Amino acid sequence: MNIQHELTKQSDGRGSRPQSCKNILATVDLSQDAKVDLDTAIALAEHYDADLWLLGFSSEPAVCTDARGLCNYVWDSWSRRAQVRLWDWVLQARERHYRTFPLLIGEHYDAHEIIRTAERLMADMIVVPIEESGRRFAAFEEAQTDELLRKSATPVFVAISPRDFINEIDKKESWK
Amino acid sequence: MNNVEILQQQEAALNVNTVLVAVDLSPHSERTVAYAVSIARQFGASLKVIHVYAPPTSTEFGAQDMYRLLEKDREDIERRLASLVDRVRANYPKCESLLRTGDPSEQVARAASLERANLIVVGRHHQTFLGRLLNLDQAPKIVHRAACPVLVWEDDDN
Repeated sequence: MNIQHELTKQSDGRGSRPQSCKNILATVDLSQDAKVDLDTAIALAEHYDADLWLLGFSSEPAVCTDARGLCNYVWDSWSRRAQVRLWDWVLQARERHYRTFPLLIGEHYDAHEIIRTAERLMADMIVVPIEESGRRFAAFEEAQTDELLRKSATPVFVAISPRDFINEIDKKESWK
Repeated sequence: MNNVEILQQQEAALNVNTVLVAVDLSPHSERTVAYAVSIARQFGASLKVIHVYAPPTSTEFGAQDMYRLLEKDREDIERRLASLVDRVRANYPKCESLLRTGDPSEQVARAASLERANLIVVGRHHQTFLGRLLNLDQAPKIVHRAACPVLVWEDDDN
């Protein structure tokens, strides 16, 4: 690849992908205690004037996903509750970015599902929010995020809330 | 929430003044840098191109020759990085290079903090089975250590 050629195209306004960001897919955890940080996803959608799709996951206990017999009503109520939560987030996001739309996945956080959805939507970017407290998120979710980073052909924007890395390292070193 | 508060919140959420792009100086690096330039251009941010030199581990035998070789290797890398940055500067002047030595993910995260970067851009290309098995992919490691948002993108042609 000739970088000069690519950069000249960019300055002419003809080249490169981030300038044509039309669909942004952001993941939302719908479990009860999840604190969702959509600020970055909304700000990116506003900046690129893109459609924002919120993809809801729920990390409810697996027993609730058993749809047999008596568990049917549990499934229905859980699914409805997840949908209500998702719509709640969508309406909150719409106060700041009107073109926000919901997508519900009635499963746990799954990298392959995110990749499939991004391909179906022809998304230009996937936004995965990770909060300060969320850095200690469960090993399963961490593995799924790593899987997403390894396999997604769509650029993945990991929205990490800023923190003081140098101070943390200094603290660690002072313990030695 | 009133409109002013909403706008302030949005500005705070996406305040990109400095973009740090991590490269391994492979043929894919030019594509990664071009992608990072397009993002920096969009936000009017300055661009810092970082490469982390990870010297191979060695024993003490033949140490003098080894140090000479390592020094030569490092100089060669420094030259290649400077050449890449010079080519970028011709089109995007707000660009500079950073060369660090050590563990790539740790050094990238540290440099992002020191340089007050608001975004780290990391390119990722298809890895071999062995590479995955040995966990050589740096992107997830950088994400786990970084103090600011990270944008990971697939820099393969296909």
